[in-house]
This record gives sequence, structure tokens and C-alpha cells, in this order.
Amino acid sequence: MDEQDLVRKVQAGDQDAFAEIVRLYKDRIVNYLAQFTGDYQKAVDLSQETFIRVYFKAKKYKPLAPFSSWIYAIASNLAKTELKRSSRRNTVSLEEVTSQFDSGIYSKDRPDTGLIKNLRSALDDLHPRYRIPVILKDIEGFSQEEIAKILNKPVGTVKARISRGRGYLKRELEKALHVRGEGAALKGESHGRA
Amino acid sequence: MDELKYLGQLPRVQAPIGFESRVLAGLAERKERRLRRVKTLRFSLAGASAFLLVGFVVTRLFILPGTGPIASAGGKKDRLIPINEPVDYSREIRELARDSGTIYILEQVSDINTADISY
Repeated sequence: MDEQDLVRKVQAGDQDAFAEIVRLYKDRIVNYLAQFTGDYQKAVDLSQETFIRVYFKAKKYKPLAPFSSWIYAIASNLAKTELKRSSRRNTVSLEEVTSQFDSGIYSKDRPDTGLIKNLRSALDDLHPRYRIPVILKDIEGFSQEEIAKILNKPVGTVKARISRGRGYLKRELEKALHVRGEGAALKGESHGRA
Repeated sequence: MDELKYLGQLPRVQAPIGFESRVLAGLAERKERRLRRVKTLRFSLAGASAFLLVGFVVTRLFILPGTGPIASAGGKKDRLIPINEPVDYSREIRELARDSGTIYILEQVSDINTADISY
């Protein structure tokens, strides 16, 4: 069945059509929100809320933009709100702190050696204004025009934000590589002396 | 620096098993809550309207009796209609003045100049 037909059915209150939309988008939305928040459980909760909003706001959807853009827009807005709320709370559980300490990852002061982990860390540090377009472009594979529709911003603004976001990530990765290089050099030196 | 190409290779995650049923359960709960809220709102509005109506009736009947229907029906007998009627005693006095030996003592019995007669 065509996506637009599904949406029309959801607008009429068809729950089966809604379940089909959830089935189609659940993995993409959970992944997007997990990349954005860096927290899988939070991403699952936000995704659930996203789909519930999709159901209740379905009547407001107009087929001028693709349905996927509309769902991503709802998910982005929810994620931004959640991020603001959690930054106000600004609490970290002790369990989380000890587990990070034990595993030796995720520290700004001690960049780890894995490129993926460094990327993850840099992405988490990136301001949401730039993080969202970078994730949508480089991880979810949307075009700049589609991102502009999702964020309701001009294409030029989206281009600039992607460029600045990537620039920041590059600098952070270079910094991490530099520290790694120094660490390796120090290690080599100490081995030499021995 | 080509490392940014790895952004696309960041480990992807999937929705947990039973995610759809969780969403549908959440949706059913939200629908129920909405329905309850609408019912509560409807009852509140009806209650507020009834309260306003009772308040209006009570005010009209008992607190402002001068303007109420009971006041206008029952209060007729107490109503005063002031009529100012000038009384001219001069002619009466002139006629009676023919009787000799009659002494008239004219005394002001009221502070009000005009004589008000209440019917």
C-alpha cells in the first residue's frame, strides 16, 4: 500500500494503518534519535512519543512534503525539547559515572583510541543546531532540500549548518588524533629507554 | 581528512522487540486519558454554567429585590406617588375675615415651603 494511502487511513482513525507506519519507520526513527541523544533507552521512549504524536497530529499533515520529512520533524522537535529539559536537570547517575570510569571511554580529557568512539564523542558535543543536520545528512542520508523541509529552514541555512558541524567534527577528530599520536610517541620513547 | 565518511558507519541501532505493541498500548492509554479529560471538561463546564445560573437567579430574587419581579408585584402598596399641590389659603381667609372678632394665628408648621400631600 502507498504511504500516502496509509496516512489517509490514519487520518480517518485506522489503527491498523498506524501500526503499519510504526512498523515501517520504527528502526529509522529509533536510530536517528539514538544518534542524536546518544542514549538508546531515551531514544526508544522518544520514538514511542513521536509515533503517538504522529497519530494525534495526522490530520494536520498535508501531502506537500514527504511523510518521512514530517515524521523526522516531529522526532527532531521532541528530541530538542528533551535535550533542553535534560540540560536543565543536568544530573548524571552514579551508576553511569562508574561504568564510564571503569570502561575508560567517553571522556573529553582522555580521547580514546577508537575512531568511532571519538566520532561519537564529538557528535555528542556538537550543538544540536548543527548536530541535527549533520546526522540527517551523513547518517540518515537525506538531501539538503529534504533537511530544509524537516527543519523548516532555508536550504542555504542548512548547507551552512552542515558545513560548520562537519568542520567542528573534523577539528575534534584531529585533536583526538594528535593526543593519540603524542601518547604513542611517549610510549615509544619509554620503550626505547627501557 | 576522510574520517567523516565514518559517520555513516556509526553503529546503527534498531527498535527493541515489541516496540509496536508498546506504541499501541501507549496510544490506547493516551486515548483513554484524552477521553477522561474531555468528560471532566464537559462536566466542569456544565457545573460552572449551572452555578452561574443559580447565582443569577438568587441575586435577582433575593439580593436585589428592588428590581426583581417579586419586588415589583408585592411592593405596590408601599409605593409613594409624590404630588405637589399648591394650596392657596388667601381666599378662604378673606371670606372668613368678615366675621368680626376672629383672630387668625398663622403659624408655619413645616420647614418645607411647598405642601406635599401624599395619597
